[in-house]
Amino acid sequence: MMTDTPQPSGAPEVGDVRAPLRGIRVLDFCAIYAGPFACSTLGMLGADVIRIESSARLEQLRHSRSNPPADWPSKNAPGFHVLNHNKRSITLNLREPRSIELIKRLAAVSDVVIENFRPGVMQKLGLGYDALREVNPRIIMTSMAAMGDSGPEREYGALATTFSALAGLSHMTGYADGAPTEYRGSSDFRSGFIGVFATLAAIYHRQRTGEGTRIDLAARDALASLIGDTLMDYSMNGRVRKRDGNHSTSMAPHGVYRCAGDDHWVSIAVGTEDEWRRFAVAIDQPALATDPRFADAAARVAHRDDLDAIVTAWTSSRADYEVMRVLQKAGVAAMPSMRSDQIVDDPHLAERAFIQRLKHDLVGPITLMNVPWKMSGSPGHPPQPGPMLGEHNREVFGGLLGLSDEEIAALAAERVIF
Amino acid sequence: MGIFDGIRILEFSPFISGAYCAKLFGDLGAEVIKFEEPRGGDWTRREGPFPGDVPNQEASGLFLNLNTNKLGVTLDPATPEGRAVFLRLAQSADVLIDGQAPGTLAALGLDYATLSAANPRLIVAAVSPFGQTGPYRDYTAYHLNLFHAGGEGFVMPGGYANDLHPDREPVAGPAHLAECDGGVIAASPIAAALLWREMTGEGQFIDVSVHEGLLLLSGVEIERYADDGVLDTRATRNVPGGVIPAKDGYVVLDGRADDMWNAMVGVMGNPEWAQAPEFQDRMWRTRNYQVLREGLSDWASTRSAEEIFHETQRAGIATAACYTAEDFFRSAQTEARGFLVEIAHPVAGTFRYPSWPYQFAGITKPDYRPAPTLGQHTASVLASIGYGEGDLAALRAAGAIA
Repeated sequence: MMTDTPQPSGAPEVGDVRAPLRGIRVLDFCAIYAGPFACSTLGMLGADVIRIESSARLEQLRHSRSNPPADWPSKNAPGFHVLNHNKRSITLNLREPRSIELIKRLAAVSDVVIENFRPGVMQKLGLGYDALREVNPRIIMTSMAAMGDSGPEREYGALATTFSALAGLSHMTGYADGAPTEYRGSSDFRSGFIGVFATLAAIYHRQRTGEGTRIDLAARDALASLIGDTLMDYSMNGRVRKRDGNHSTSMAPHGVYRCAGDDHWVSIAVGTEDEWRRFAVAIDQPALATDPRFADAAARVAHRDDLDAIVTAWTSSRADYEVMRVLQKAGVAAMPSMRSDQIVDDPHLAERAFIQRLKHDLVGPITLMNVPWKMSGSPGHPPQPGPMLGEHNREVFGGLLGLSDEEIAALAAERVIF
Repeated sequence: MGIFDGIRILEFSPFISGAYCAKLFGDLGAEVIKFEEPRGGDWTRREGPFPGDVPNQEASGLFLNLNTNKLGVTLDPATPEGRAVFLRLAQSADVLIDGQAPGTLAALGLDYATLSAANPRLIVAAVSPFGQTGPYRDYTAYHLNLFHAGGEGFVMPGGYANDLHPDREPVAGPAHLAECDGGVIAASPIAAALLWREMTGEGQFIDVSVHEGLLLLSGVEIERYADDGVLDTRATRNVPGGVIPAKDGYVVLDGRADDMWNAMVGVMGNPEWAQAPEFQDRMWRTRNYQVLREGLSDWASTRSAEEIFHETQRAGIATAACYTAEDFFRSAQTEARGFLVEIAHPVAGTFRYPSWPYQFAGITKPDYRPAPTLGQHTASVLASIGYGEGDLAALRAAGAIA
């Protein structure tokens, strides 16, 4: 993946790298979650991702850590790596006009630029789509703003918590008699995944037509598109769906039940009559299957409080994983409400090598996750820890742009490369 | 022209993730052929919402939204005749999205080796809850189970909702959120495989685990435990601000960063309580987040959520109102982005649907075609691979098509 010699944009690298994005170079201007995650995913598909950051405005994830050891060396917190693995890092102070010139030279030999600034910031820096297209007519620019780059709320500030609320997720998540739910970073990742797909579509378009494009993604709409049937209910019936815990209007049992241990839970859903009979046998209460209160799905929904009490009585003395195994063996859908301490040790995920425990010379242990797919013909790259701040300055400014060591040193002394 | 014009995708997927994945390509111009059971069609046809709540297999809002821009073909590949049709269509296709339970296609004699021998350029994407290998391979999961297995459920509701009911169970996200996540997750490796095929001419097999994709959404929390030993729960969401009740709904306010908080104090008219030392910096505001919430709630209780949202945003604060579907439909931002498109369906009628959440410069959004009625395109699609009228009658008699 690392190259030391200048290459024309889009040319496949030497050797037999079976990665679908080999030869694609991505400039990553992103911060925090959504954009950086999208870029790391492209990196694992084989793109040469160059992250542009600066000591003048250090990415907060580089130094924030939940539980730092006493001798913690700053600027490389493991949390940074989760969002910035499989990349190179260069440092440029964007307040310096010479930095902007260097970025344009990089854009000329790159394929994709991804950014998640507020709309207008890239233009102010002189790096808007038109400016980039001047130096590289085939460039693809992916902009991932919360509201998108148009409309009256275009410049509104946003976090995952706020655009999730605007998309309707918060209102529909939580207990019926409680408050809406604050979504966490997950929504940034959702938007990131959609950004990856849109960018790949644009690369495909360019491969077939030779034309670049600019993607204007609105995270708010990206989330709303994932709950389309609730929008259809409003469209068709003027109905506003409300939060209602884990309840279903057509299934019971359909809930999350307390298990043995502190704060351990299992989700159970019974959809068909056949599943209901097997469930009753699996929990050693075959008589339930003939109980008139639970005669069919509608009756079970009507008596779901009675039913939930029976289910809880059975689950509460058992481990969540045990409930899963017993019910799944009977063909009933049951999964723990998985906690991070279970996920890292889960036998299924271990067998699929999804969780990767890596060791970094300076940072120590770093846990990264693989891509959620296995491609037989072009598997791409395994997860590799993220770069140190400016680790690839010499490689990129020297190898890719042809600057001499003296020129690089001079730009560093003047805090351009910084 | 659409990005994926000329690409033929076969979708054989009772799993919503597979259907949603195919929709993403269909909406960008691919020719998507959806297989449905000859007897009754896709199960989502029987799920609501229905206009006026009257069940009708041609009017399910779930089905109609999942299947825009697709061709509908009835086919039973468990019959020998149906299997032959499947194989011939696979020879003409670029991508097969297999959303059946793992092993289903193999049991029909349609495993990847057979399909690849018939069409080496074919990309087969098997989209399943837990992947094609491992101890959970054959586990079943409804949306509820998938969502909770994905790790996000355990930390929800969190914040104010959890403080109100600290002893209750974790909750899942709404509707088919995690299954649609699965569709998005599966779409990227398929697009990447198309790129690979352009370079090498090779097709390939892709094993997508929706569960793993969902876990990535909680990557930050998982890493925090793995490397720092800190377990996130519903009770660990103690941010200053968050969900706050307003006069007519809820808002999300942010009092974390100093500049946001100072602007917030300004919007509230610099009340004395907010300038007290216990809110002087982020650490103090976090420590006293419940007192802070009471202050914000008192202020918000006399204003509408929409009013607070715009007033605070104008002051530069990243805030939101907790929108309902109605609020979302009425939002000027939704309107300005052209996100909702009107689609006329011959049976269900004309409704506004969600569309692309992205815009591509120079590529216009095509007119959306409505979801197919059951078997609407069986004859035309089969004609495209050489089946005539007589052949169709024989297939019908054999129960391979409807």
